[in-house]
Amino acid sequence: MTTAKKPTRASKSSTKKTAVKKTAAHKKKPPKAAAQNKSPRSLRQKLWSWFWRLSILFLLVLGTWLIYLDAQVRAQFDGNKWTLPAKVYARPLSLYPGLLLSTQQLKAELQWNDYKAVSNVVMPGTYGRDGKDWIIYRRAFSFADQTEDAVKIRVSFAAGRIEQLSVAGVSEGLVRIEPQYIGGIFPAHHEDRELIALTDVPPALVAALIAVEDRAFFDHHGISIRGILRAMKANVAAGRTVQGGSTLTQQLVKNFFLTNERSLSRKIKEAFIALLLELHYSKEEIIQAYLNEVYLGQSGRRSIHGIALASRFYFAKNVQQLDLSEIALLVGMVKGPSYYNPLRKPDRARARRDVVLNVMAELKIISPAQRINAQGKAIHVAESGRAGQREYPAFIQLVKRQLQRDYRLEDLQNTGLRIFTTLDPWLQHATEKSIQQHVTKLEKRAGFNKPTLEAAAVVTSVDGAEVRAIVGSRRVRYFGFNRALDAQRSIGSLAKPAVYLTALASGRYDWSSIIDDKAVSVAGQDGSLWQPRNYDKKDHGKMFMVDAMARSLNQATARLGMTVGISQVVDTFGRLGVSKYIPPYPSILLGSLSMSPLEVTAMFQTYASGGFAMQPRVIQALTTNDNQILTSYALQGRQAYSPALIENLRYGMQQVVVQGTGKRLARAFNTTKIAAKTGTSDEQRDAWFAGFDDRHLAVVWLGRDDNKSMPFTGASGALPIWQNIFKQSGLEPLTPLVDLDWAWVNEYGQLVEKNCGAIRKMPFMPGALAGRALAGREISCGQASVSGDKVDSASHTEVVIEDKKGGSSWFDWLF
Amino acid sequence: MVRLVVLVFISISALALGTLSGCSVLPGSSMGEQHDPRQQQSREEHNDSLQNDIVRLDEGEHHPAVQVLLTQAEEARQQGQHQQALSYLDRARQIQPRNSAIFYRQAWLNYQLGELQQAQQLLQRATLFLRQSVANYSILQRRLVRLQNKVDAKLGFE
Repeated sequence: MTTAKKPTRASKSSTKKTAVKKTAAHKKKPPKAAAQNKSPRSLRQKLWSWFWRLSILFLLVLGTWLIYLDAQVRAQFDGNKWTLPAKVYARPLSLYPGLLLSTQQLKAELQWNDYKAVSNVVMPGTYGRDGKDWIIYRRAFSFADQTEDAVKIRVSFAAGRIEQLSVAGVSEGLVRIEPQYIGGIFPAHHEDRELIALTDVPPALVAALIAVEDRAFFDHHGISIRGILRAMKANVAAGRTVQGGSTLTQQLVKNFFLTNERSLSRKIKEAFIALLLELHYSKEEIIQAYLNEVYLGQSGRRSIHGIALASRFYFAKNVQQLDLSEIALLVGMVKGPSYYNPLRKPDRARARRDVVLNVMAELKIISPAQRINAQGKAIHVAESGRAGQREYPAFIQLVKRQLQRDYRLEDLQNTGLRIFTTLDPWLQHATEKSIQQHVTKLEKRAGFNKPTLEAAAVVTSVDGAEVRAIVGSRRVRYFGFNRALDAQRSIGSLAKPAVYLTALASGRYDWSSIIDDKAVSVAGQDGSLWQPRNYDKKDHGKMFMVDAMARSLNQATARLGMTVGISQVVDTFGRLGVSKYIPPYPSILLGSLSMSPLEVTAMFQTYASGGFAMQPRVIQALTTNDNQILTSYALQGRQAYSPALIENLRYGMQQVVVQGTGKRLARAFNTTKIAAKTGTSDEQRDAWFAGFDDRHLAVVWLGRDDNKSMPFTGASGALPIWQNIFKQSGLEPLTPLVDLDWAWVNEYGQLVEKNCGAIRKMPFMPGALAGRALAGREISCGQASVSGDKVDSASHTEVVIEDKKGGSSWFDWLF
Repeated sequence: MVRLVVLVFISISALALGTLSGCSVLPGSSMGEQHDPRQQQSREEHNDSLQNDIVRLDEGEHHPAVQVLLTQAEEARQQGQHQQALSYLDRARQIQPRNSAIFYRQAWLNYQLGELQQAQQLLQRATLFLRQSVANYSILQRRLVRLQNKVDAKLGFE
C-alpha cells in the first residue's frame, strides 16, 4: 500500500483530475472481476478490499477538496463580495437666495438627477410646482462633508434669481440638492452594480423571481433533484432545452464563483459549492446575494448587475418605486438579458413579462385584477441615451488621470470610493450643445458634405480653476480620442498675450507705447529667414501697443517680441503654468507651438484668476465607502504675477472685444467687460478662442483631425461656440482686480490734458503716473513734440463702447 | 442520465462530509482605517487673540448662504475638526469666490495646521480681494497684516 500515499499527495494539487480518474477506475473493475472468475473467493475478496480502499481514498480526497473549497467559498462570500466601482458625482447644485438660476436649468438638473415631476410632492426624489414656487423633495444623501436627510424644499424666484428658500417650512440661507451620479470608474472589469439589502426589495419581486426561476427554492439544499427531473421531462417533451434544472443557488454559484465554461467538472463544482453555501448561509442571504449579482444587460462596455442598478438603468427608478409590470419585466429578463432587452426588443420583453405575470397570478402572488392591469401596461423604459446615467466621457477621462496623478494605487483600489468632482452639468450641457450645433452649421457653410471638422472645449471657474465642463469631440458621448486633453495643436495668436505681458512686465512698455507694424524679417541660426506677415497681408504702420494686441497684428507683435527678448517670453510661458519645453525660436512669438486645449486653459487661467497660476482640477473630494475623507482639495496655486500687472494685461484683452477680433461679442452681450483672444494657426489649420467673464474661462478649439486647413479663423470658427456657451450659461461682466491709473495721451503717446490734442484715455500701472516711470512724457499744452514716433492716422480707432450697466455688478451686491 | 447519477452520488457524499468541513474559516480581509494625516498633525491650541476676531468677523454682514457656512465652519473649528471646517469654508468660497474674509479664515486654519505655503497664497488672495466697502474692513485688514507677519516669520525659519 505504499503507492496509496502518492495519489493522496498528488490529489492535493489536482483534485479534480484524481476524482474523475478514480470514478473511471472503479467503473472498470466489475467486468474485470467477471472475466477472472477462476478463483472466486480470493479474487473477489481482493477486489472487494481494493474497492473499499479506493473508496476510502476517494472519500478522503473528496473530503480534503471540500474543506479547501469550503474555505474558499466562505472567504469569498463573507465580507465584501464585490469590488464596487468608484462612483463619480458632479458638483451638487447649491440653492441660496440671490442665486442666478433659470427655472429651465433647475428643471433640467432635477430631471438628470432622476427626479420625477409630480402633482403632489410627498416622496423623496420628486418635485412639483405650487403656483410660482417650486417644491423639491430632496433625497437623503451622504455628501463628502456630512450626511443630510431627505427634506422638502420650497424655492421662489424673482427676476431670474432665487428670492426665497425654505427647508421643511423654515426659511433657510442655503441648501443643496444631492449631486448627479455621472459614472463609475472600474478598477479592473466593467461590472457596474448598486448594492441593495433584501429588506429594501419589494416582496413581490422576490416572490416572482422564486416562482419563475426556482419554485422549490425554500425546500431544497442548494440543488434540486426534482427540479432537474422536471427540467429533463420538459426538455425531452419539447425536444430541445427549454428549461434549466439549476436552482437559484446554483445560478448564483455559477455567476459568482465560476466561469461560464460548460463542462461536467464545472457543473460538479457548482453543485458542491451550492451545497456548501446552503450549509453556511440562510436562504435570505443567498437570495440577497443573487439579487445583487444577477446580470441584467449591457451598456457599451459597462455591464449592468443587480436589480438595484437595473431598475435605475431601465426605468430610472428606485427598486421600491417599481410597479408590477416593471417587476415582472426585470424578473423575466433574468433568463436572457439581451434576448429580452426592453430597449431593443420591446415585443419580446412584453411577451416575457406577461408570462411572468401569469405565473405570479397562478401562484396567487398577485390577484387576477392586478395581473390584468399590469399586462395592460405598455413597456415604458427610460429614454435611451439618458439610460439612467448621462455619460461624460471626456470629463471622466480627466478624472481618471488626475486620480492616478494624485492618489496612491492602494487608495484607488479601495472598494466603494466616492469621487466628488467639479462638473457643472448645466454648463457641460451648454458646451456640448454649442459645439454640436455650430460644427454642423460651419460645415454646411464651408460646403463639406460629410463630417470633417472636430472641436473641443474646456470651461473652468476663473477663481478656482475648477473644471466645469469639458468636451473632447463633436461626438460628445464618444469614449475615444479626447482632443481637449490630447490634441496637440498650434496655438497661433493665443500666444500673443504672453508677449504683451512680457513687455508690460519689463516696465519699459505700457499700452500707449508706440510700436511699429512694419514687415519684419529674422534670420535663423541655420540661415533661414522668418518673415511673418499679417493676416490681411498689409502693413499697418505705427500704432499704440494696445491696438496691435486688439487687432492681433503679427508683424507688430513679432517686432515687439524680438525687442523684449525671446528668452523673456519663454520665461513668461513658464510662469504662466506651461510646463512643457518651449524652444526659444522667434516663431513662438506668434504661437507656432503646440498645446492641448487643457494646457491653453491652464495658461489663460493665470490671466483669469488675477495672476495665480493654477492647474485646472476636477476632483473636489474623495471619500471611502464608510465616508472617511481621503483628501479634499483646497484652493492651490502660486501668485505668478501681481494682480495690477494682470489687470493691465486684461485691459488689452478687453480691447480685443472693444475694437479687435472679438468685437462681435460686445454686440452680442451688450458689454465690453470680457477679456478674450482669438487664435488662428498657419494656413487656418486651427481656430481658437479663449476668453473669460467674471465667472468662467472657456477655451474652444476647432480644426480637422487630418490637420488640413479650413475656411475659418478663430473669430469666425471658434468664437461663435464660445459665445453660445456663455449665452446659455449667462455672462457676468468682468470686475476690476485693482484700480489702474488713467490718463489721456496724444498721438505721440504723450500724456496731455484731455482738451489738448488727446486722442485716447489709457491705463497705467497704479502709481506709475506719479512716479518717475513716465517722467518726461508729460507735456503741457502746445508743446507736443513732433520728433517722436507718431501713431499713423489710418490706425486711429475710436470705438469705445461704454458699458451700459455701469460699474456695480452682481458681485458688489453680494457684499 | 449519467449527469444525474453523478450528481446524486456526489450530493450524498457531500452531505456526509459537509459537516466535516464546517470548521475551516479563513480570516476575512479587514480594511485598514483611513486617517487624514493632517488631522493628527498640529492640534496644538493657539490661545491667540486671533481667535476672538475670527468670531467677531462673523458678525459682519455676509451673504446669508455664506453666513450659514461660516457659522458651521466656526463650530467645526471649535470642536477641533479642522478638515471639516476647511471644507465648509471651501463651499463658502465657491459661493463667493472673492470674499476676503473667507480667504482669511482659510489662511488662518492652514497656518494653524502648519501648511505655510498654502496659508501664504490664501493670504495673498485675501489681500487682493479686500475692499474698503466690506463690513469689518479695518479689523480684517489688521488681522491680515498680523497673520502675514506670523506666516513670514515661520517661513523665514524654514
